[in-house]
Amino acid sequence: MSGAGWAAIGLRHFVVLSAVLFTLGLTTVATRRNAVAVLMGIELILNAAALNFVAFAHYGHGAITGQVFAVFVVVLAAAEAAVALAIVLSVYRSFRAIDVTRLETLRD
Amino acid sequence: MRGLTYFSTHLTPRGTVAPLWLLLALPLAGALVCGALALRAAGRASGAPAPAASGRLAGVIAALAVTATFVAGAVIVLGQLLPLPPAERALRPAVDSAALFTIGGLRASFGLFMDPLAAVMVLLVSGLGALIHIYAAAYMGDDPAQPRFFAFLNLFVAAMLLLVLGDGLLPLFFGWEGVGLCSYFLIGFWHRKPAAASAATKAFIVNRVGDVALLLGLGLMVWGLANVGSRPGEIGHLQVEPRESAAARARESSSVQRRRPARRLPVGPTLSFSEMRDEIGVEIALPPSAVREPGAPADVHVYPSRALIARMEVAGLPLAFVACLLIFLGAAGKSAQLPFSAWLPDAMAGPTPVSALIHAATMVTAGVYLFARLGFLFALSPGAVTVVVMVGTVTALGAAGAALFQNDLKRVLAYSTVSQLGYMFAATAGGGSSGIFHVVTHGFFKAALFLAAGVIIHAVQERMEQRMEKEAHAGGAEPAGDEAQDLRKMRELGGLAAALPWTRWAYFVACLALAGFPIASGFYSKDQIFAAVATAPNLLVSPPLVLGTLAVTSFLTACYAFRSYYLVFSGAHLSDTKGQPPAEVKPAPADGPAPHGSAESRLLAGVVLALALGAIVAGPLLGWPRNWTASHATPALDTFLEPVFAGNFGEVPPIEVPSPVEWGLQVGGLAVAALGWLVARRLYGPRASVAPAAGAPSGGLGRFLAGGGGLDTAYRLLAVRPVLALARAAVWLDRRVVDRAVDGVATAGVTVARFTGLFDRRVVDGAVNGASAGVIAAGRRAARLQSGRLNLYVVLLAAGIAGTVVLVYFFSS
Repeated sequence: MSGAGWAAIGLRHFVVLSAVLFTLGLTTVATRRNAVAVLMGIELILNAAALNFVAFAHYGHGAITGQVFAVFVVVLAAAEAAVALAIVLSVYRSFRAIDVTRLETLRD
Repeated sequence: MRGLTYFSTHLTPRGTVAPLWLLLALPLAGALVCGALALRAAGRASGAPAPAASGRLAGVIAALAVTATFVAGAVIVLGQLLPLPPAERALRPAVDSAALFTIGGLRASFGLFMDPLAAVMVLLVSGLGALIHIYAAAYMGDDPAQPRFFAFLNLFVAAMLLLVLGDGLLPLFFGWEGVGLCSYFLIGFWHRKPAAASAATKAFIVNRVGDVALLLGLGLMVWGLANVGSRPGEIGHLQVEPRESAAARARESSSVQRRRPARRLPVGPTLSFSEMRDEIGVEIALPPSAVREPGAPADVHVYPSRALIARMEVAGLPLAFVACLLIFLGAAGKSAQLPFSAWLPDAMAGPTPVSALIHAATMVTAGVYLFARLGFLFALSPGAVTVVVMVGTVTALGAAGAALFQNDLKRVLAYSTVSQLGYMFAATAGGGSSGIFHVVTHGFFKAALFLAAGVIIHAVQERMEQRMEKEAHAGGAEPAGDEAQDLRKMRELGGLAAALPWTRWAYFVACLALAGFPIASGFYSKDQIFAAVATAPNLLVSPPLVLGTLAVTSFLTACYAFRSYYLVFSGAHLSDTKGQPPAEVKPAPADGPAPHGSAESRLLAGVVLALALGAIVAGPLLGWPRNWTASHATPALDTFLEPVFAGNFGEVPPIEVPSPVEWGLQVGGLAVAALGWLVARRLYGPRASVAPAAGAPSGGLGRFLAGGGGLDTAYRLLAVRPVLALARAAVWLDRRVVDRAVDGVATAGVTVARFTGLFDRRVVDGAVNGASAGVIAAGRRAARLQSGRLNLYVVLLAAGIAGTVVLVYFFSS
């Protein structure tokens, strides 16, 4: 909170950070072939969204709705990770691989 | 109508209850048992040949069944019918189906009824039937098909009894067709012989023609009855008073006369003969006032009466005449009268007991029975009676002539039967019992003749068998034109007197009866027929003409009867001297068939002798002539049958033949018969040097008569050829027109189908297939989006969201 060149950290910073995080996550999901990496990208996207909730709640009307949502998102992310990892494990058992590009038997 | 009273002098008695169904059940049961045996034998026939034991069993069962029928019939007639007063002699079964059902206004019944006429016929059929069954059981020997034979023979007896016991059109027609069917089966019993098969078919078809006429005639009568009465076509009722006939009133003293209560008589269309007769017999007594009034309408008789029926017309002809003529045609078919006579000689292809029972003694007399049963109808139509008498007379003469030129013993007897049936038809002229009397006497002597012929055939069995084999080899020969085979029969049979002494005497006695010598029965019945013709109440031709023709016939009858007798029994046994090549002569019968002396089996000869005895006693017993008694007593059978025929001509008393006339008829008949005998003896007797006419008939007339008077040719020209031509035309029409049309339609159908098929395949299927192909192609295209690559999905998702956001952003601002 000191230094002239630095404006006070505001909502804008959080939104930009959140957008950067989201983009990183999306990029990870779109480009990685390892299923675990994809899951990590999803984690990034979820956290970007959670960051947005908290930021808007803080600079918005002051209620704690955003924080509650963020907690939910964290819980959801944990559950999602558990389920998704189980799926990945099962996929590995049948495909001997976790490369998402090879999981295309449902196509036809 | 007030003041009118209805009365009838000859109402059919109601009848007391008697077990009449038993008479049908006994032979029917026998037929069923024999039929079962036949079926069992047929089932076994594929393996081992049927044992002769079951055949003999069938014979015994059949003979027992018919004998039991005769005993039952005799017990019923003697125990129940005879004790009744003459005017009330009638029996009905306990289960009376007299009014079985009603169709509209028509009372249809399937009831039985035994009056004196039926009683005579029942005793004759079952009595002769029993004797002939016993004979047949011995005669058929080891024929493996015996159960079938006896099944039909028993069935025949049942059908014949139904015919004579049935009261009405329905049972009569059942019996009528039943006997025809059995006749067909039994003529064709040796169905592997082509002659037998074709003879059976011929008999059946000729009979059918007559049967159609019979049905039409009786139907016409029913229609006639439907059209009289107050409400045509409906059943009404009439209070009818039974009255004593004038003759009965005269006979009985007035103190004995008692009033019988009036009966409620149904009137209207009916199938029952007794009801028909009662309806026609009803008379109307006008009140005295109506007689005095001259202006009273003539047609107050609204109920059927003799006058009304007699006045009805159909197609411009009197109804009674047309109906009687049609009934006559039916009777002529069954009784082998012109123009239907040709089937009977061919029917001799059947076994001899069948010829004796069916084609001589009983079935062929069904026509005569019908005339007697329907005497009340024929009394209404002098024209029809005249036709019957003339046809009978001409048939008698023609058949006697044909019999003279036959060389097959059985064909002689067959033509003789036709001739004697002609006598019976001529007897219809009198409208009395003389025809039935001749049925009885003829039944005895003709059965005796036939059964004697059977013994003769047995005696020369081996040669007959050889010939039969030859005939079978020759195949398909017309039975009538088969003169080369027939010619030999009686020539081979010479000199059998020594071998068959008993049969010879029986045959001789039967010939005497046939020829009409007073020692045997034929004389008495023929005398009655002559008397009936001489005193015919409504004959339109001159009686002397008929009598003259019958006299000539009597001469011929004696001639052919004794010709056959001499040819068979006198002279040398031809096979002993010549005629047979040595190779065909059997060696000494050490182990072979029995020699002729023992061929006269005791049982067979016994039956023949019993029948010959009947042929002697039946005549004098039943018909001792009136003029031979001091008191002019009516003959026994005449008295017994009087209630059946009484009243047919209304109150007209029966005409009695004057004694001188009867003497004249008797002496004349005897004289021509004696003349015939002398001629036969001269030509064929023991002292005749050769038997010239035993060979092929030389003269043109002889050949004509030998062939049955050209009847077969006439049939061929008039019936067989047109039918065949019609069939050929029908075939042509079928092939050329009907088939073509059908083919054309089919071809057109196929062409149209081909076009529609093309349309279907190209257009309809194309559209459907095209649509489905389009959908599939579109699906393929769309499926390409689903690459299965998650990364790409994510990119697309993101791009989509981004695009959406951008769009929303730009368009919402």
